[in-house]
Amino acid sequence: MGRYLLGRLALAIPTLIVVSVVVFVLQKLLPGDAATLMTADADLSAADLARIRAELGLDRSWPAQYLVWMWGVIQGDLGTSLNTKLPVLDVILDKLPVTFQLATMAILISIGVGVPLGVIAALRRGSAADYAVNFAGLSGLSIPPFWFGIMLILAFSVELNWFPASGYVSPFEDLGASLWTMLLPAIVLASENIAILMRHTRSAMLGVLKQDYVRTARAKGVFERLVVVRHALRNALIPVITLGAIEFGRLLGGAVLTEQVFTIPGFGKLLVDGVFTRDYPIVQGVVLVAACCYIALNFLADAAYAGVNPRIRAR
Amino acid sequence: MRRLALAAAFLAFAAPGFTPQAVAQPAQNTLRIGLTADPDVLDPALGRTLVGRMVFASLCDTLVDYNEKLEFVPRLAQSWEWSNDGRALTLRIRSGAVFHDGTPVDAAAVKASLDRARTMPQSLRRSELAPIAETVVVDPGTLRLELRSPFVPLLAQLADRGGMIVNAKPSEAAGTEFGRQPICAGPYRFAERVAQDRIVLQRFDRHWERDQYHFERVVYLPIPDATVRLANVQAGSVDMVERILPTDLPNARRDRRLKLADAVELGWNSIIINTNNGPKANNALKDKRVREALELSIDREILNRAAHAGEFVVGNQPFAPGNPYFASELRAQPRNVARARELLRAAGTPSPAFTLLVPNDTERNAVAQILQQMAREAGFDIRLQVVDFATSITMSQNGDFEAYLLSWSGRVDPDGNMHTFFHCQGSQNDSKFCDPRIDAALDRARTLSDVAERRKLYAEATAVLHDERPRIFTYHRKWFFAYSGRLTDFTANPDGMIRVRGLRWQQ
Amino acid sequence: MTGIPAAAAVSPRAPGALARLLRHPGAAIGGGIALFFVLIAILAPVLAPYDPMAVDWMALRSPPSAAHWFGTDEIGRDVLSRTIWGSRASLLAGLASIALALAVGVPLGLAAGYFGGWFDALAMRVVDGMLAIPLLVLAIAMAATLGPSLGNAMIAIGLSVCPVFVRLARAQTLAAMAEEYVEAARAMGYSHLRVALRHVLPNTVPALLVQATLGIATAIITESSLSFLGLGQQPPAPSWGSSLNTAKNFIVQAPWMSLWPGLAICLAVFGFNLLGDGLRDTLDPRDKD
Repeated sequence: MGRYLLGRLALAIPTLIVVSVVVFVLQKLLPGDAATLMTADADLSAADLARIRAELGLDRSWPAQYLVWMWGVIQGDLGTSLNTKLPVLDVILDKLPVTFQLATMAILISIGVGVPLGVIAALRRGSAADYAVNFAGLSGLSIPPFWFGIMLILAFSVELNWFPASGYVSPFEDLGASLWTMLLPAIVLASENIAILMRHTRSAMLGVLKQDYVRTARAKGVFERLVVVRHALRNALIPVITLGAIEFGRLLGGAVLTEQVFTIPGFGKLLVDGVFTRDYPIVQGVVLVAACCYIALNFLADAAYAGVNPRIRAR
Repeated sequence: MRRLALAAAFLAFAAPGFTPQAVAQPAQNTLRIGLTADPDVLDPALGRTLVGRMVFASLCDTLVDYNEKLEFVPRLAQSWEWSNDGRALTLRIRSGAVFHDGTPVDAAAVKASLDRARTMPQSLRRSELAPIAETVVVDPGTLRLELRSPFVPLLAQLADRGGMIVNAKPSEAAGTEFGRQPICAGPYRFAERVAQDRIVLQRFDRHWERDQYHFERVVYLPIPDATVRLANVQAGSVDMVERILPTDLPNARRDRRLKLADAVELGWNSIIINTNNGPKANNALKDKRVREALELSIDREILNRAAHAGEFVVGNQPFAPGNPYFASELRAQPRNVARARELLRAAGTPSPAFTLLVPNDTERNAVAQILQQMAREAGFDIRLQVVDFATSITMSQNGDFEAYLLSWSGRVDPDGNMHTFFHCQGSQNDSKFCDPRIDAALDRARTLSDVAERRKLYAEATAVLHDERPRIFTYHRKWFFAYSGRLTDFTANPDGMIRVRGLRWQQ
Repeated sequence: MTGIPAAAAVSPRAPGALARLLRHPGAAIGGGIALFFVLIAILAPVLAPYDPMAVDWMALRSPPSAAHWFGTDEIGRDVLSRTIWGSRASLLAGLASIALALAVGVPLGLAAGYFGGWFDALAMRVVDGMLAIPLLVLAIAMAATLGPSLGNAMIAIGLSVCPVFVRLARAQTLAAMAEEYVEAARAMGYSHLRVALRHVLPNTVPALLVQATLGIATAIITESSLSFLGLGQQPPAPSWGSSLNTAKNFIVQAPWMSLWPGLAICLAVFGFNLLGDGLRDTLDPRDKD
């Protein structure tokens, strides 16, 4: 068991190296660099430009630039933003609570809505309710998040004026306002995960309901709801929670467009702006942290799963 | 299903003590300004963005400033005087001005700040301040700038980031990290910055003009989407926003909670044509007649109406109508498709094809598509190549373009709108079009301070541009501001900056 | 033993599967929707009432009317025609990018699963790394690097979703390798290529088919997201995502501009998701209740 987990952990390192190399190379292939952007607004001679590039370390070869960055990372220094000269680590730590809050709210909504619906669908298998839930879940998967976000803003912010159209309020300043402002974007993010969780809950429940002990309990006439809660759901939840953890890890790095539409200052916004302003240290740093979160949560999910299911360890 | 979630969420949040209205409550002594983007580094020597200048307008006092009529007014320099030969500018520094750390702003401090901007390796101000050969402290209240040659536009540089005085003593230690805790001498001092979320400035109580600044705090919030920005000021979650879209104006005008202000920009928008930069200069537009036909195919009024709801200002030169340097005698040619076709036939290319490089944003996307359609009616086949902004300037600099949609935010001195773009040696002359008549006029205009004389020279240069058409000017944007009706009136400046001076809540 | 049919594992199921698929209500409806959009894309020149690029300066952002059923856009183009033509970009992006992902991913996954060893380890590390980067971020970076165009967006999407197929193909290969007839074929001394292609590959088909159908849905959304960011279909050619990108600026003044392309994306994606679900129900024995 311990060796299995240790092995998994060791595999994370080459994975992270692949992530950083892929992202680094992609960025370097983009035309222009941070220094080019400076010429858009300032009168710079070719000599000025060359000097600035040298100062920023952009005149070195790609491998050299990558190794300099990597060496910093090993020492815990993610570098300095080329654009704002702020330490990348500080910027990321500033954003982490925002992204974390959004992802948490989204995953809670997904579980709160997806699991009960999945249970209902499983219990009423083949009924109209089952089809309705399935249909709703598929619709959630099929709506492009940015369009859904725009439609929600149009309806609830512009027309009804119930929500602020955008922005972010720190939960430490005003918890109520913070949750309220994040609700629409969290719903948009949740729409996809609701469907995923619902379907997994449904199939897990169906699997458990077929088990002998549950059938026996039902046959003995134990009150149906009790059976569902005490036996079936508890067992069905294990894969669902695992999946929830993985989805949570994905949400931490993947809310690019939702953040864009609702102008939430999280990781996604930082990444996209970083790509378009050629701010390599920012993009490298954010992707690395997001990948770490993803890998860590996957790892936790696997660990939890392996703890429950010894067959996994054998593989 | 989502509706269900929503209803559940409402119930959850309808808990006592919280109402959604609480979000919209403005803090009485804070002014919240919505910006189009997150500013870059808050160091005047390193700053490159327009939104950065917005923040500097409150954070860092310049030596001189200009009003909405573009007349120079004193700021940290109480007065200034050119020497007779135009090679020295003597500045009298305001007494009583102090930096945010309490250090007095005297001639030595101003010298240190200017020298920092002139010599720091990463400084973007080096070229702008290059005409200064020497900064001489005459006495603690007087600084003399000695120039290599007469250079009138210097005053405008001193009214922009080049003339923003920072306390250079600590910045020597901080280097490029100065922008994390900038120490300037503006009416507001730096308090806090959360990247891409907010920049908070706190009123500086020892500012020499403290009584003109009525807000204790100014908070800058980046809200990139223009429609969302407007929605925020409508909902009261910010008090003022810059750059409303022309198409959103009807909505803003209907809203009685809002006040609007606008000003025509200092800058220009144009199609630049690669006439001389590398192999791609050998394009369908290399014949002057083809370029004329292109201009004749464009109806600037319809372009304005279709792309900008008719709210911008059509233009045919580097200065907008109303600018002191606008040459009213140089008229735009009205659209004439028949004449355009004739010219194309005469040039032997009845259906010239070329690629128009377009930086990726909604406005220029629309403009490009409209231009494409208009030019098609005259026989042009324009392919659009839309790329992200950084890519577009890289391509443009490398001569990797045939035509390019380029905008410039503009400068208060006409030199800043022309020299770097049209002079043979101009660093931003990406079409590498070169004409000695333009060079002569632009160089000479730098040495003169009389507006009428300079206007004449700039008109001469513009006339050459009109004849040769290495670039076709199309329109001038307007800065539209929307702000809370509870604020006193705000006057928009053609530079698009928000000057907080004098603004307050109505009693 | 040459008589072992290529699709030994699936062929007994195949006829039944098709019939079941047609009887499956979800799959039938989903397939119908997908077919509907394919037909619209093919017949766009016949169906569209106007040239999708033709501008009308006199009819900017005009609301739906008898002349323009879906209204017109910001430079007076017919929204209905652009929505019809836009289906080409979206479907093409969906199909082509998944085809690319299959073409790259399946051989890699097959090889990794078949040969194992260092190649497998290396491939899995790369796959893990790419999966750890959010799909859209990867696609944005690739599309920006390649330069914005529909073709490049397809490549970016295809390469971004590719790791999923590598992993799936590998897992299916491992499962198939344990089957007796594959072991038998190997024991017979057939070449690796022959065993991999004729005995292992067919086993991976059902799972890949399901994943590909669902992948088309994801790819359509991703293409519209990239176009929404200006990295997909280039103006003035129509695509649903780029229409939405422009329409978001006119959401209050001209809601019809964002409504129709948005609904079109939803419906098309819904169709492929439904079809994929149906395929899973009928083809994938593990999920059968």
